[in-house]
Amino acid sequence: MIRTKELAFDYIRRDEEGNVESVTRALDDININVKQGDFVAILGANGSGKSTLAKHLNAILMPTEGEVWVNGIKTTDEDNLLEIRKNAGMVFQNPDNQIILTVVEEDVGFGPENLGVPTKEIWERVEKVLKSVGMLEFRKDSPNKLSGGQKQRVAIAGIMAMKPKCIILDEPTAMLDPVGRKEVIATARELNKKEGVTVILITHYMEEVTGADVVFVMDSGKVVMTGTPRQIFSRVDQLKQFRLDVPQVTALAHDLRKKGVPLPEGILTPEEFEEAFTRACDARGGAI
Amino acid sequence: MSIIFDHVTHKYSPGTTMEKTALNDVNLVINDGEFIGLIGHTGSGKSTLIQHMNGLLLPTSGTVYVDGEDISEKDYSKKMLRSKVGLVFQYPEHQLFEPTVVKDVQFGPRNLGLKPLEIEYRSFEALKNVGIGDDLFDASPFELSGGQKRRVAIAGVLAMKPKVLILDEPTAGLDPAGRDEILGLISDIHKKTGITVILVSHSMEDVANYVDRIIVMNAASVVLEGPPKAVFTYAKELEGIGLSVPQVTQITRDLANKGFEISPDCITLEEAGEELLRVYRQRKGIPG
Ligand SMILES: Nc1ncnc2c1ncn2[C@@H]1O[C@H](COP(=O)(O)OP(=O)(O)OP(=O)(O)O)[C@@H](O)[C@H]1O
Ligand SMILES: Nc1ncnc2c1ncn2[C@@H]1O[C@H](COP(=O)(O)OP(=O)(O)O)[C@@H](O)[C@H]1O
Ligand SMILES: [Mg+2]
Ligand SMILES: [Mg+2]
Repeated sequence: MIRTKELAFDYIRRDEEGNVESVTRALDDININVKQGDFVAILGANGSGKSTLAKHLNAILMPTEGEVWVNGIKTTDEDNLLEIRKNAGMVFQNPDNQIILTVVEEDVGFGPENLGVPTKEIWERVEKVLKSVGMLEFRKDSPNKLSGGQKQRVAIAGIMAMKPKCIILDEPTAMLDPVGRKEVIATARELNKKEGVTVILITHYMEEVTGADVVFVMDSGKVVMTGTPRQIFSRVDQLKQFRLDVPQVTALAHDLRKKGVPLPEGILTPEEFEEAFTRACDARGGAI
Repeated sequence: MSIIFDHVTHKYSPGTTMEKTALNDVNLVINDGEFIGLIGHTGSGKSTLIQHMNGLLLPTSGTVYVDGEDISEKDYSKKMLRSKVGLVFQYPEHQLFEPTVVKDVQFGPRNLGLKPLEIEYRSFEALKNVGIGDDLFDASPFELSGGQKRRVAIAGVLAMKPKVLILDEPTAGLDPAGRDEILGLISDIHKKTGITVILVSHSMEDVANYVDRIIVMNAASVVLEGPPKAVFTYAKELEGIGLSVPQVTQITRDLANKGFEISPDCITLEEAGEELLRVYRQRKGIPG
């Protein structure tokens, strides 16, 4: 679905005369392979290159070196630009900047209208996607009446209405309250499970990626760790080197384990913790 | 500095069809030197509330007193108020407008009419404190990653050395290490200088770790206030208004409900770790 080969990207800063002042290598030798239908999370420090990588997946940016394929099409293939953009839709951080029109359903229909989709089909799509993000009852409302989480779900619906194969969420929950965050993540997982859409989620909240199929960790423009959430979050000390952390519950289990409580590494959710802790307390035999 | 809200109501576009009551009869006392956490769902009125503290917004009715003075009085100096009450905005990109990072941070101190050397010293100190290296001093703020922008915006306010420091979701978009660094820095400044700090946050974990008192907003009103331990006993109510409790609080409460003799109001990782270890050892007959 998404494949990069030796991808590198430089941001080049020039002075008024156009002479190169400085070069920032934001991506450096990225080789990733994402299967159709995967739920992928990307973690990494500020400035590690996550957004730059995301912008390569729908051809907002073009590689300085190497190649990017999305759904079998190379992103530098200019004749297919529209196809690439259609295949990979992006949702950003700020819920207030992404909704353009004054009625929810019109905003969601805006994308397919631009693609030249016939009117009847636009309305069918709008209804379907609003339903799948749980926002159908707000279709006639003004977006500025909605909570941040609801606005983000409308933004996701707007992308889904273009029937992308892949949706890229660049910190979609950074500005949201805890319940709004849960809504957005649940919506993304639902679309991934039910509609088979490939999801790429960038976030700084560790507990949001526990349900991902694959996690990539980036550092200084490189992918430095790849694995399942359990594999990644078992390596607490290594993550800290990359300015990351583990979910609070994982840290709790890790600390207790160091003090002799027999809990497995890589516990990801409160439910798992409670079960493992109960088992540890009930197990036969005293001290270990 | 103390801040008092006396029956403060704020309406956006009053008297029009767009009228929106963002604060509804708010009464509040913030004492000199407190570290306050302000939480509430998106759109509950947090940003509107704090903009009344430095005179960016004035009450539609009611009174805001800063150090005993009514800030709506005609001859009250807004300029003086803003030099004492520093506000880091929610969207840092709205706060950055100078051509380079250093100039941006110097903007505030320069407006205070400080000597050039003092301006330079304060800006370098502030940038160092927020973790921006000198390689970025001459970069344009627009070329920074999201997290870097936020750090620069915080540095700009720190360089003014305000008496009251208000931060509107300062850690949104920061990597986990950056979150700890910025909050650690703010906490240090609070301890060393005794200034009043008001932290708006969607991270229940952060609020639990750092603040003395939490103020909870819902739909334009203050609905709950008190020390973190007291506020986080209202898990159900908090969830009903878009909020939550820290993961470790959920775990200790669940385990207490399942019959473990465990204090149900642990709100930090350390507390929960100690409590669970004690319970485990007790069950196993291991001397603590
Ligand atoms: N428009 C730009 N011009 C020049 N340099 C840029 C530009 N955008 C980003 N950079 C630089 O490229 C690097 C990677 O930035 P990117 O925005 O991809 O980081 P990120 O991982 O998304 O960070 P964050 O978590 O803060 O959003 C950083 O060093 C950043 O300063
Ligand atoms: N400049 C504005 N004009 C009109 N309405 C606004 C403006 N700013 C905020 N509001 C509205 O006031 C309410 C409170 O918003 P805000 O203070 O930004 O909440 P929070 O910071 O808690 O998310 C919301 O309904 C919001 O839509
Ligand atoms: Mg980014
Ligand atoms: Mg706000």
